[in-house]
Amino acid sequence: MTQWGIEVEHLRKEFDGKPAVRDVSFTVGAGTLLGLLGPNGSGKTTIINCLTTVLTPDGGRLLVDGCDVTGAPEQVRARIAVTGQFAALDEVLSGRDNLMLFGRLLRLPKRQARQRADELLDRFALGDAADKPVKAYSGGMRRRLDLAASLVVPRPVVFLDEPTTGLDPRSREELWQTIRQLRDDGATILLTSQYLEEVDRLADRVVVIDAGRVIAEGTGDELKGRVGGQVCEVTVPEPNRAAAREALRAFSGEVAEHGEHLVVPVSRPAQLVEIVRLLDDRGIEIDDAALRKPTLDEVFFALTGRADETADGDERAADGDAGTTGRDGERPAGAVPAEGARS
Amino acid sequence: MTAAAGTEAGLGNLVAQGAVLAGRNLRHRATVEMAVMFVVFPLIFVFGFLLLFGRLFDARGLDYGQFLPPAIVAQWMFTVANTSGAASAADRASGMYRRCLVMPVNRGAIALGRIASEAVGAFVAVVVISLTGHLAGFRFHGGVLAACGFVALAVAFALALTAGTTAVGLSSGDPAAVATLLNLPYLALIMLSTAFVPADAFPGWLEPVIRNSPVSVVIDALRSLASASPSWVEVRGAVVWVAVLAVVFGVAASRVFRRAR
Repeated sequence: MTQWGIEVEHLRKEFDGKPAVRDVSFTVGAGTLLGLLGPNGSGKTTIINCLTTVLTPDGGRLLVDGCDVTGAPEQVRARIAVTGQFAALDEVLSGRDNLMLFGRLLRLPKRQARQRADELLDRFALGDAADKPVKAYSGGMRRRLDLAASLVVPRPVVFLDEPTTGLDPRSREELWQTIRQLRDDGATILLTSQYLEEVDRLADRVVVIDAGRVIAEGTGDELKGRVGGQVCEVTVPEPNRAAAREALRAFSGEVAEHGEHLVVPVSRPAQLVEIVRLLDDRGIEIDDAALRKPTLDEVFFALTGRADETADGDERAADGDAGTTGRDGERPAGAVPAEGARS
Repeated sequence: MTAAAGTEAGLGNLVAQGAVLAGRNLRHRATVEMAVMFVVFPLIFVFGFLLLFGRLFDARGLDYGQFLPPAIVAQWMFTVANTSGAASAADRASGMYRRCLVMPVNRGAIALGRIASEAVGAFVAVVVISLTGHLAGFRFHGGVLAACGFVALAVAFALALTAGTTAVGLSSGDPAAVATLLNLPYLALIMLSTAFVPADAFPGWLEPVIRNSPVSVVIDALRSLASASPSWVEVRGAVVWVAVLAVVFGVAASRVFRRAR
């Protein structure tokens, strides 16, 4: 048993001369969950692909459960469970037959493979759909079955590449519950996400990457601390919002707009009063003004200097450079069924 | 969490995992569409062509009932290979292929599973077409050994083609595009061969091309193996062609296999 479940030292990977991962180092403590956070194209999936032996790194040293990824890939594959960005299942086979197929591939005897499949179907609430072909499954069911398929034989290290992308909120919450359970069972988990909330809710530690580099690292709270202690969120109804925004800009350069809320970082609680007074002086009516801790979204904004458009934008876009030919492991966009549509 | 299980190394994994994957590939073939494709279509082809051309060729002194089924066999070996290429593309598109790569699955087992399942598919198709042909008057006049040679040559031809379609399928990852693309060489090669008409029915300048195309050579060897006096020279020519195709396509497939993710 090593102290680290995953060690990444100076990982580099490029595609056709274009760097996808420039120089990434981080560690994941054994039995902890690390959230790898970054927008589309930041290199998350490339990192996962290198760690899971799918891609050969151009440089750096990668250890998974103490095994060298380039030196002993078969040792690594025997220690990992991987759930990719897209549910990798046999569409023709039923849920049970999929789990049995993977169990048999992992050399479980038939009876044991069946028993394990039934256990997992139960645990992932798929019992009712066990004998339906996977093509009839909803997006949430696919994701659950996909995760179950990677857990047919329990592994010490688990990779989850954007496991909840495209899921409805309820399915997402259910999957989060399962992931927490996995962590509580002692697995080392590396989870990538472009949902800041997801990482915030699940991860022991967070590594933020952008354009193939680590730009921040720490616990969720530490990262939030970077933005400043607190933010002031002012709720302004139209048609006053533009005027309010203008007024707040005089107060702080960084005004973010989320729907009807305007958010400004504050350094002292007393600034709440100053903000309310400022708006009142200018005759701008507001519905509400309150202090709160910043969200990771705001952290992300502060770290990268831009809003994370990807989180609620094109969720299905691959985590790779635009126009990727699939060499980074992404499917060509045309071949991707809109999972959200099924859920 | 339990400790790591065994790795993928070893002959035991190769065989056992290959068998599991072959079984899975065959379950994909055991669908209604596939049954129609592999049983009903050959029937239609055998009797359809016979109805269209049978009397025409009888008038020329050619027993079309004996002439046609080996061509349908070759045609269906293409179909086995083409559907296999599309299946490889589908496995890449669905992520199944990727999942096998990150599991401790013997790399050779993925190829072995494909080879084994397509061999079974090709074998079933040959048997179905031979039985259908029997109704149309097709017979193995050369004895049991020659009949076995007939089946073996056909299956080997299908596997050699499958190596090529697998290379295309795995590198593309788009099953629909692969199916369409693979139809082009298939149609061209079948049309420009002795499949449906003898070589002398083509214009003189085209005849040498027709006679020596791999499809013609294989079909003529199949006809020879079904005849009363099989010609070793014809069979040898077909074996050479199949071996050449197997090596060229095999190299292409293994290169794609090492790269495709």
